[in-house]
Amino acid sequence: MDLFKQFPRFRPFASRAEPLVPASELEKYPTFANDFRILDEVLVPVYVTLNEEAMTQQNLYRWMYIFLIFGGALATILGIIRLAFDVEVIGLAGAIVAATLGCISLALRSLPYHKRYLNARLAAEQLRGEYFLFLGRIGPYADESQRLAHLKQRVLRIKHEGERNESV
Amino acid sequence: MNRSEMQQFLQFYQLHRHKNQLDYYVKREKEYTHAQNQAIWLSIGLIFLAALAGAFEAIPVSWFQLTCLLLAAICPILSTALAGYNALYAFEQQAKIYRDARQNLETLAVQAPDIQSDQDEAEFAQQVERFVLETELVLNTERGYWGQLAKDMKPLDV
Repeated sequence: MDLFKQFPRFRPFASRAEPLVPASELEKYPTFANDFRILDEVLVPVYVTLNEEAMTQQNLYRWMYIFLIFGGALATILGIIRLAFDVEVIGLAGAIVAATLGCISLALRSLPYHKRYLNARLAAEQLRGEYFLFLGRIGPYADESQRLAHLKQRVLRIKHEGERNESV
Repeated sequence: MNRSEMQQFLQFYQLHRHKNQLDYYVKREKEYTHAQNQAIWLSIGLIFLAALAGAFEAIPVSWFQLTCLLLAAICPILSTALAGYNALYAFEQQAKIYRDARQNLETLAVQAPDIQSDQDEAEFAQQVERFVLETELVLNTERGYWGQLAKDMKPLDV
């Protein structure tokens, strides 16, 4: 069901982590072997780190809200069932759920999951663009003597932006 | 880069950047549109069930009355939770962003330089550069819209 396809996962990297370009595809373009090697050293490790960071933070952020949304519904439903059946243990369960939700709500306000996920995702996508611009010697990468220095500089700047805990 | 290298780059770029992103947008647009429709139908189903339970609650069988009362109370709560879930993922807005990006990439695909053409090397290089920069502009714009949307992707009442 598409509605729950993006539901947070217990192991976010189990099936979704994909390389920027599969290694088997890179072998088909020996002309760019040297550029691929540079990109693998300078850009790809930062991209992988930011991509994984984005996936982890997104997963945690979504879990928090899922707990809040469905936990809130569960607490109310337990309250209704308690009224209908007058079983004390249900009331106790409702109280525990409500207390847990309070803690999660506090955590959501104090932990920067959302900002870290946003910054890391945007930075990872920006790096993906730089990968192809560098390879095609396009824009700021047109100058052969400066392109490597420019790449290193750009990667460092984007990495710094992606690791920020506040909004860019 | 000489002409042959430029042709190889164009082929690589079209496959691993342009087509890769296009496939991603097509998949996501379809998935989020379906998800939005499913959320709407599920919500309607829950409200309908609550209304039905309210109507049948008048039947004087004690266990049936209790079940109907519980259903009439619980279904709207689940429907509200579903609305919160829907707001967390912003399916409709995300589908729109991906649809716009897909349409822009499809338009650019038509204007892509011809790899086999025998035009002047400098002119071909210029065309490739223009194609790449325009594609990156579309992707940057999509990223900007997504960033703005993602900032607010959370349920209003939580």
